[in-house]
Amino acid sequence: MVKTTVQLGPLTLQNPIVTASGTFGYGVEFADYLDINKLGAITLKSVTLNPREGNAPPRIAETPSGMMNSIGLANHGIDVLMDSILPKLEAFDRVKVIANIAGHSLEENVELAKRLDQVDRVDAIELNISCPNVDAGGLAFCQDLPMVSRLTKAVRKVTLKPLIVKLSASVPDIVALAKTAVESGADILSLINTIPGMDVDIAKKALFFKRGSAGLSGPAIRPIALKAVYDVAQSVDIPIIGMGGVASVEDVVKFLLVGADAVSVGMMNFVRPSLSGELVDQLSAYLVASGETLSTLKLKA
Amino acid sequence: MSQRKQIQIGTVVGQSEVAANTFIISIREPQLVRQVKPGHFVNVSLPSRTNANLLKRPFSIYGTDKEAIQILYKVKGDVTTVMTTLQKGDEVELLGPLGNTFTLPKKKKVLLVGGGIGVAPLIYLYDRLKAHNEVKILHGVRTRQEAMVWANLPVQTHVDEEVGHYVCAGFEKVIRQHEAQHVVTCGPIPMMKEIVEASARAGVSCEVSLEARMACGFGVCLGCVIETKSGYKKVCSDGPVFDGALLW
Ligand SMILES: Cc1cc2nc3c(=O)[nH]c(=O)nc-3n(C[C@H](O)[C@H](O)[C@H](O)COP(=O)(O)OP(=O)(O)OC[C@H]3O[C@@H](n4cnc5c(N)ncnc54)[C@H](O)[C@@H]3O)c2cc1C
Ligand SMILES: Cc1cc2nc3c(=O)[nH]c(=O)nc-3n(C[C@H](O)[C@H](O)[C@H](O)COP(=O)(O)O)c2cc1C
Ligand code: FES
Repeated sequence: MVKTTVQLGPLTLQNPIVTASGTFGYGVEFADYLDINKLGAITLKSVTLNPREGNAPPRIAETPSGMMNSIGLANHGIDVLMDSILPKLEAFDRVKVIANIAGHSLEENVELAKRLDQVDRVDAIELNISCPNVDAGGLAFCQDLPMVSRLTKAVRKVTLKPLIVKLSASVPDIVALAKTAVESGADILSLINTIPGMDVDIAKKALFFKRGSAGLSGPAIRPIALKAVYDVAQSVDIPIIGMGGVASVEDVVKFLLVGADAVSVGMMNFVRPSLSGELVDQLSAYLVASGETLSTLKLKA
Repeated sequence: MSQRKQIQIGTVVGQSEVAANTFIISIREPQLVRQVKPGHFVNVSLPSRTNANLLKRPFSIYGTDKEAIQILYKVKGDVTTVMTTLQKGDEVELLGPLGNTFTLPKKKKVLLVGGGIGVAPLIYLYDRLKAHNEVKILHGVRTRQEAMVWANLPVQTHVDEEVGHYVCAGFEKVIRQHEAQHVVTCGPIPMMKEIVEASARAGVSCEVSLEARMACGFGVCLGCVIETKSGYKKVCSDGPVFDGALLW
């Protein structure tokens, strides 16, 4: 057996395969398709204090090699997550659970982190400051470095759990953003979130999505994600969860080579629900066949 | 533990054009055939299109034949255009059965109303209802070219450009004429809305099958919601079959 354990600062994963927030439900929905206990970690759908209905439809459009979504952080709220969803994940003892919080204000994020800090089944908290599909908070946070600093520090203060800050590549300077998050107390960075895009309905002479803009994901954004991870990995010292268009084990290896320590699978979970589990096996097979280990997967100088 | 669900590889066993730009394709996948019920849909992708068109395409079950499922489809865009070129022996990826199912009444007069390609799931429903119910099917199409030939099926075809929007307008009268006790409809939204409202006025239950843009098809992306009287519902997993009264 090849060693696949990875240490992301304070967070230990049995392997580097993670699932991305909003693309894997609460994990249990995928239990029909794979053994979720074999994954490194699952990231839960973003949660807010109160339930959110989300954006008006249409919410989905296909694009060449990708899709756009305008879900708008629809979720049941923190109470339902804690009372009825997290208990269901107790049965899976090896996979780590990352709870993703997306409050619209500093205060809401602090409250969410405080609540989740009390829950044993939550192994890490991911602070989503990069959702392009909401009017308040979301991506606007990422574009305001002093705000990123205040937010990260405030959340850091109320939880001892490993803190992941999730970044967008749709900012003027992602390295500056990453450094701000690290200096403010992030243990781990995850990147990238979806990229704002647009579609047009010709027949209606109108923008396809009600909010106009929507978030692009999938293989279409992989080159952008690889560069973002590369740039950030060059300039910060904390672990990185890389994501954006991962569809195959080769993609996983590419993210690891440019500096990611773990790799998250996003929209391809919709296309092939069993994919994340397959990638766990395929990565082991790749390491065996190539004679590499996770620590030798680095770009040549 | 229950058996793991997987993407299945089905093999095309045949396909034919049955009306303008409208095809029936048969795909062999024995496991799926054993599981499907009227109302279910399957998510289809073509191996030759997996990079260009990532998202699977949802199609209702039109019928089953031995070990094959049948899909009645209309050419719309990228994937349905390529689908028409599939030949016997070609492989397609299938995920399903997905969604909920139609109610199966017994000893009732049932009226099935399909608009355009929306007739597809109703034919499979008819097949499962006919033994225990008195069933009639109305099929509304816009042009004569879209009309289909229905062998051995009690279908009345209405061509809009010849007789006007007969299927919709005055639908309450149609319900009374047929003495229908249960109505099921699938087609364009304005048509379904009329029919739901007419059924309510006539005091008859009415189920509808809806469409929405989908990414996953199994309830996790939250992309396929429609507005109902009790908030947003997911077409793929709360539906595609809904009680009309919940919608309009
Ligand atoms: C539950 C359900 C059952 C369906 N059953 C049938 C059927 O039996 N026969 C049939 O001909 N069609 C059916 N449709 C519609 C069918 O899914 C679309 O015609 C098909 O996805 C078009 O794909 P395309 O690549 O040819 O079109 P494109 O326009 O290139 O597709 C672009 C994107 O839009 C989506 N899309 C386009 N039209 C629709 C639509 N009407 N509904 C949902 N998504 C759409 C596609 O899935 C794709 O993601 C059904 C849809 C749903 C939701
Ligand atoms: C339908 C959908 C919903 C998403 N919802 C969330 C969310 O709630 N919170 C979040 O942090 N990211 C969300 N994301 C972004 C993903 O977690 C991921 O960062 C992005 O999709 C890039 O990865 P991919 O290209 O592999 O999909 C969502 C993505 C999609 C496609
Ligand atoms: S298509 Fe994903 S939830 Fe319905």
